[in-house]
Amino acid sequence: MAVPAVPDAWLVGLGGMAGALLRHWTTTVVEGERFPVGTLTVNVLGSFLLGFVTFLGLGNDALLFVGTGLCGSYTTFSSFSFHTVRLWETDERTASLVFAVGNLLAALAALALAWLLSRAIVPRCLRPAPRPALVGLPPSYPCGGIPTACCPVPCECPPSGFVWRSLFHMYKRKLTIFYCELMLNVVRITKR
Amino acid sequence: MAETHPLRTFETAALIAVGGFLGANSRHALSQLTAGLWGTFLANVLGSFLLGFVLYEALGTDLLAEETRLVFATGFLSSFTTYSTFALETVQAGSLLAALNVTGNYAFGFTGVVLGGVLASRLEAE
Repeated sequence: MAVPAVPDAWLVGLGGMAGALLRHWTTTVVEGERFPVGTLTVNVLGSFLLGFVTFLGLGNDALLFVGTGLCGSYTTFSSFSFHTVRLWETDERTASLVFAVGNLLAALAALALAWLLSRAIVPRCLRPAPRPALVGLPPSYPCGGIPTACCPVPCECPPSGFVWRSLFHMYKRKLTIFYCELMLNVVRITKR
Repeated sequence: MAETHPLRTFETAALIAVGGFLGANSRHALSQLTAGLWGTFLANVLGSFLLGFVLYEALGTDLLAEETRLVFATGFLSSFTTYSTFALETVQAGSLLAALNVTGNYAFGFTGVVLGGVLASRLEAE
């Protein structure tokens, strides 16, 4: 059963639409009197989600919709620079510096957390290999493509996340196969 | 009263949604046209300049309607620029390139806002 492909522009656009609306909603709920907490919040939350879906190694369509569209639009650089400059101009120099550095540090911390979380739930054979270049390259898997081979032979694909490690000693092969198949289905669904 | 009317809320959401749709696609198109970190950098700098202009214009002359700001600033420009991709690309780049990326985006982004403000005040003086 072939599902017709959704054009990239719609994936990015609809994601962007949702991201912009969510950002507007977030910044009206989380509003700082003197410090732009709203912009900081969207940037940190959006960076976390983008990192998470990227490190999970989702398919191209899912990355376009959630990553480029939703997270890309949910976070904003223009409002961030405007707030930084505005704080500096209105003699809130310390707040301006804290805001500029804080956005970066908090976003990096969010990415680190997303990476740790993705390692905990995705078995090694299903993780995207570390990318040598920047964005745009399709994630590659150590097992080669979608690792169908790793399901019947669990020993070729040792689960390594810390949540999994303790379970592994208890259920070993049976759970490995179950988990692997589950993850394969997730990958299949999210891949074009 | 008029601000809380459901139709008003819908109008606001529709304007932001249209801007967000176009902003995300423009950013995506720009990143397809350029290589490496340039797409996000160019989108962030250009977007900061334009947002600087629009928001300083609102503080000064205030000729543009509130609806224009919603569709263009909150919708289009804020979606056109992105912090998440900037942060992720920084992490994925090598340490020297990462440092350059942060410095470049920050320096040119802030300069863009200031220049946008200068342009807005020029127009105000007209």
